[in-house]
Amino acid sequence: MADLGYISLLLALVLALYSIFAFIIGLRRTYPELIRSARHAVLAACGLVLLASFALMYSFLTGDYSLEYVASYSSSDMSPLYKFAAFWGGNQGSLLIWAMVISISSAILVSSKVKASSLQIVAVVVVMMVEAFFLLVMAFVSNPFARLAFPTGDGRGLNPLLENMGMFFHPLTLLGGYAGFTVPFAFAVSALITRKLGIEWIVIVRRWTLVAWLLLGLGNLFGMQWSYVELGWGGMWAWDPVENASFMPWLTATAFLHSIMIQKRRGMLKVWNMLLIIFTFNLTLLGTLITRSGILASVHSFGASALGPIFMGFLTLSLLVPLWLLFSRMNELKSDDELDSLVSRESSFLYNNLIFVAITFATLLGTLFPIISEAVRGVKITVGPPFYDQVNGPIFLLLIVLMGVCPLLGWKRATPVNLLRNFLYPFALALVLAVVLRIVGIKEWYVLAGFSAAGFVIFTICVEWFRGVRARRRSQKENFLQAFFRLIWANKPRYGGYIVHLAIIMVALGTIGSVAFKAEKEVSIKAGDTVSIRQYTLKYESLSRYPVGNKKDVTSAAFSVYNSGEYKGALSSSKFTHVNYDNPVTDVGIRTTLKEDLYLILMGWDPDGTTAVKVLVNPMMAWVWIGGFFFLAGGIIALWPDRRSSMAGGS
Amino acid sequence: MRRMGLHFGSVVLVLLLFLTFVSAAKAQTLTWEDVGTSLVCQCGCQSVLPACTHIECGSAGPMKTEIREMIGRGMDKNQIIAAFMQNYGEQVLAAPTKKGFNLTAWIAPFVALIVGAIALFIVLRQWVRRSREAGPENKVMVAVEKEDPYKRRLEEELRRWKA
Repeated sequence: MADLGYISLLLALVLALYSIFAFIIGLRRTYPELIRSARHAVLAACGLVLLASFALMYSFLTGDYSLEYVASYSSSDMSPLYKFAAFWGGNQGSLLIWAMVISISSAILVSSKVKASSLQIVAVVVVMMVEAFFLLVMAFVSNPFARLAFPTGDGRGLNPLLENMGMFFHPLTLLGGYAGFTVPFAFAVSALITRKLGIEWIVIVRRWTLVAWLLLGLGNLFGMQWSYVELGWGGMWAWDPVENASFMPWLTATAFLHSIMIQKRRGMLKVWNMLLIIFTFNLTLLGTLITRSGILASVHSFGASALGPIFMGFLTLSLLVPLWLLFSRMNELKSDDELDSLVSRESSFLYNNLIFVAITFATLLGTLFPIISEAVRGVKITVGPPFYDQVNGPIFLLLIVLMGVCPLLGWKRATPVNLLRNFLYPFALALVLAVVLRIVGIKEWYVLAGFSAAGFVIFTICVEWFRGVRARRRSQKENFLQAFFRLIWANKPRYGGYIVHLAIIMVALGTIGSVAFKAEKEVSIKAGDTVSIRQYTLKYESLSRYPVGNKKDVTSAAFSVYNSGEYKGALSSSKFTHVNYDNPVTDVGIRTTLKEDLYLILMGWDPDGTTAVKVLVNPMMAWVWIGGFFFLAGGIIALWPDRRSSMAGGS
Repeated sequence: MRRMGLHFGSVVLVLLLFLTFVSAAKAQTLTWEDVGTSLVCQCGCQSVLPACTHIECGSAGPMKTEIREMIGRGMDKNQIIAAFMQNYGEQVLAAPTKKGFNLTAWIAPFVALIVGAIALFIVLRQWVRRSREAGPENKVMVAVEKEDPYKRRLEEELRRWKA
């Protein structure tokens, strides 16, 4: 089966290369048969990549430990569920997932019933070039089907850190998001090559971008949740280079999704949109480079491999060629329209774009600064959370304020009446909120500013929603609930967007709250002792050790939890040790309410029974995950096809 | 409308003054966690000190003890951090120092944001000026959209339905 998989990869590579040449020659010489043949090659390549993926999956499930990749990431004692997930547990498998997403995207593109334009054909050529690159890497550098010279009969097993439900969601959504940006990038390059620089490519890529952006956003949220429950340090985001690498393309893609609205409506920002999508795609490649090259230390990376220079070469090419094309088409990318006013939704979107790009720049600079410092000064330094909190924090605050301002400004020109009507009450309420928070004892300026800005956004959205519902109730004689839901359904991109804004605010509130009002305590205790933190008292009951299968040992500390003296239940935290892995893995104990999380970490124990634990109270954490659900719901609503625009051929 | 604006402005001013002048927070006792968030554990985990909960870590424990001792000797946060930097080198800091070449990392994002905002303002002003010079007849679209497009569409549909 493994041989079949490798042969499938090789054949898919040949077909991908064939389709590229056939499309180019067919298009240049107006040879429809050749274009049709190239389309078939794209579909066949997709089928072969799927077959290769099936072969690798089969090898995992049947335990073919003669394969180096299978032996490195699975073992016979693993459950079928984790053998399945081990597919993307390492470098080779994740590259195969990437290639699979690209090949499915290319198959969707060529399966369209609409007669393909040159814009679409050239876009498929670019997608196939990216696919060919990944196939080439897998065929000759990072082969998932490579055999061991001396098979041992069993595998090493999956890293215990990866044995978590997050393994099923985080890598797949993240890789789906990364690979998903290939199509918008390909259409941008195609628009530059074919000189079809109007809104056609923008209309096509909006939904592709939205899907990739949604997946990448979810990937980040799943990663945060996984980090929170598995890494056992009490937080969810550490501004680690790999986390930053997946955050940066999401930021630029968010900017792109906002600014294409202006190009679609007004024919403006053509160059800017090109730049945003080119950089978004290349930031995904940079993320892959960071994860796989070992150039930056990270808990999330796959470790050093030979892929660094190869990805660096591809990144250079995929950055410089589109930029050169963009430069050479500059005269054709002039705006169709001018701006009517300095205060309008268009201008506010531009400032919002500027802020997204500034956060991306700050994050990129922070990520690469250790390398820059070592190159310039020869001194190794660390750029960790304090840097990002101080640099990105204030810029995020500006972004939150703009999030409230942008949607309520009129297109073209916002009049003073428009401004006063839309912002008077939200601004006043935000200010009152700040005063109330100050009176109840919150003194940190960033908490006051963050909560007030978040309140401002929530109030503006509520005011806007209230007006829409009231208008529907008056005109359509609907009851409140009908008016509320039909309002959303009648304008899905807009209200989906508002829901996503609310989601971001929830994540922001959860993040600020969990950092600002956090309490933590590290203690060494014996059975029968108690530890108190805020209103909680934890009584240490016992330490138990037991094996799980024949490769894992678990040591678990059990506690009873009392909230203001009232018994609330048991809570435990464990350490897993795996015979094939040096470092034990923590399984934290979490007790969640909407107000706060009680978080327990087992840190260590002595033979005399003394146990070291860390207890944290993380306020408002649940709102981060609730925000995740809102993010998904808003994204799906914004993505949902609109019957009217579909019929009109829009997106 | 003007009177309403004045009233609103006065209220805003009073509230802002309240926020500015209410008493500042009392200084809290320094804990090892306060200092630890500025330092990176040296076990190779790349975490800030309070976040390293690894059982196999040989660095976090001694570093925490060192911080507690320094607090006990009456040293403040900056003095403790300076002492750690002297002992472990610059890489013990969780963020670059705010001096010399490192300053570029701190300043560059804000400089980029300010320069970008000014450049954007200039470009926007040019666009607005060009638009005014071109006059409404030369524009692709002339309708000033003050109202919600959805409401407009709804009103149009209702008009058609009533007709």
